[in-house]
Amino acid sequence: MTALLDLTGLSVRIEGPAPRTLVHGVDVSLAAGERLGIIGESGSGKSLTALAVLGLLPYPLVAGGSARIAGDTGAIEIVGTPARRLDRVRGTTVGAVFQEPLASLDPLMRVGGQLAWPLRRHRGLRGDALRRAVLDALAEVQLADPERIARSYIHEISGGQRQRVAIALALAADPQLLIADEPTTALDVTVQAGILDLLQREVTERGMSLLFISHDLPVLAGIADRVLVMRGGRQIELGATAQILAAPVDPYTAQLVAASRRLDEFLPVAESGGGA
Amino acid sequence: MTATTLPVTVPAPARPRRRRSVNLAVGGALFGLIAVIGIVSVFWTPFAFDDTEGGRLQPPSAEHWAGTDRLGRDLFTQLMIGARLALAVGFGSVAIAAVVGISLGLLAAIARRWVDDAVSSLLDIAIAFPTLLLAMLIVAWRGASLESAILAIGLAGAAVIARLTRVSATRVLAQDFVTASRTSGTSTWGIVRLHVLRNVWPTLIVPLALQFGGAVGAEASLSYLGLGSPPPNASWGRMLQEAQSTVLVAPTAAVVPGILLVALIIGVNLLADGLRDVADPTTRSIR
Repeated sequence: MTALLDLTGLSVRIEGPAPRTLVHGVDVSLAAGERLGIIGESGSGKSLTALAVLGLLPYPLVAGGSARIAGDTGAIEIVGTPARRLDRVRGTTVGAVFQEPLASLDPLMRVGGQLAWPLRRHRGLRGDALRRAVLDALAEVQLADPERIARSYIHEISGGQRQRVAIALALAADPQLLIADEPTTALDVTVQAGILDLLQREVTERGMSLLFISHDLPVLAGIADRVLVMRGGRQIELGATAQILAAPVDPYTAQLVAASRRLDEFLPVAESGGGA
Repeated sequence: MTATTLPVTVPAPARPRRRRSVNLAVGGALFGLIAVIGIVSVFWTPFAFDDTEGGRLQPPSAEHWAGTDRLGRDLFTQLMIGARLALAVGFGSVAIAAVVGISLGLLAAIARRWVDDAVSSLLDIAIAFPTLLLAMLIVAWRGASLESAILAIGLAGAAVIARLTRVSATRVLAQDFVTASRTSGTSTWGIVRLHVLRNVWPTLIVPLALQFGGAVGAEASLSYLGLGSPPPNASWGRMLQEAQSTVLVAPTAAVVPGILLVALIIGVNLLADGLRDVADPTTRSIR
């Protein structure tokens, strides 16, 4: 099986008068249909890694090393490729869901209009077919009353509904790899569970690969096949989820595992940790 | 992160909503009235603009509703034509300011680095350059005409609009929803069309409307100084200038154009205030 995503020595640095390296060489590859979790504390470089994979690092951040994506439409090296060529990969090969759904949707566009754009662009839909596709996409992420949601602005719907819309947007062009950057962190616990179920189901049904980023080990353990641990911009440990949980090699990983074990003793529900 | 939800519904305060609709109504009425007068003047005026049969400096009467000027021409006719010219100046210069300003501002915001530096320096110079001096240069180049005045006022306004567009577009481009849209494959041009213009527009609508008012005022000043539309075009500014020597004998000739000028500028500003809230649905529901 060839890798869908292949990172070799992927690094992120700030350019300019005071250059500094923020991510030091991430090496990991992701097969089609595989689910990889990246865990680490704030500032560990996990989100920067995701942005680098998308080729969306904001200036003056620059990626180094290599990030190859080999989708159905051909292989492409993300690092150093101009934005114009990456536009063809984004959406169709890679899609992304971000942490804060309120910020990641346009406040001045109705939900339907926002969702129509990628459907139009990637699937070439127009008119009635487009309208139906928008409503289908909203129904697919289990939003009740898609007609009403499509007419709403995002400040008129709830946080959980917004994140479902964001997921519908990421899935609109049927990507082969979904990057989810802390998709449940901004949501309250009951809503989190629903969003995780939805992501699980979509990834399974579509046979997508998933790159799931979180600081919450129990959440990650429930969704990922393999876990990559990051700290201070460095890759610390990489292994199968069960192995990381049962026999962590690195002391920091052991600490993380022990911490969520201890939390489990207080909390009867395993998946509700983190936050607060 | 807290998981508590408070079952509180906040009733929308009624007062701002009423005030906004008053703004919109009064602004719309003033602007609409003058717009209708201006449009009607294209088809019909009580007298021909060069008809001097009315007797000089007559007070308002049933025949001459606003009296006559020192050459015996009907003032109401001139006021109607003046309304048309004021609208032409307002719309023309705002269109120039919007097209030139928004394009330059977007260019600076998107290109960044040296293009941004170049455009920004250009804008600094343009903003520091006195409008009147620019107008005189353009008049020297093209001759005194309505078009010269519109061009000068529009270009002067473009610098301010460009600066505002750049700041506001830069802020929009840094938003998460732009990144999110990028991840679904939207091109740079798509981002501008889809997100940037839409989110920049509410911050531009008031400055553009202020420019409309400012442009009408500026054209009056230019005409007053003889740099605007030449006779026999009856711009309100030139009417003021012509009335100044006879203001003690025939005050209406000076007062009425002044009142119309003020009414148009206030009307446009009120209208802009109301329109801004309509353009931004988030303020609409908060209120």
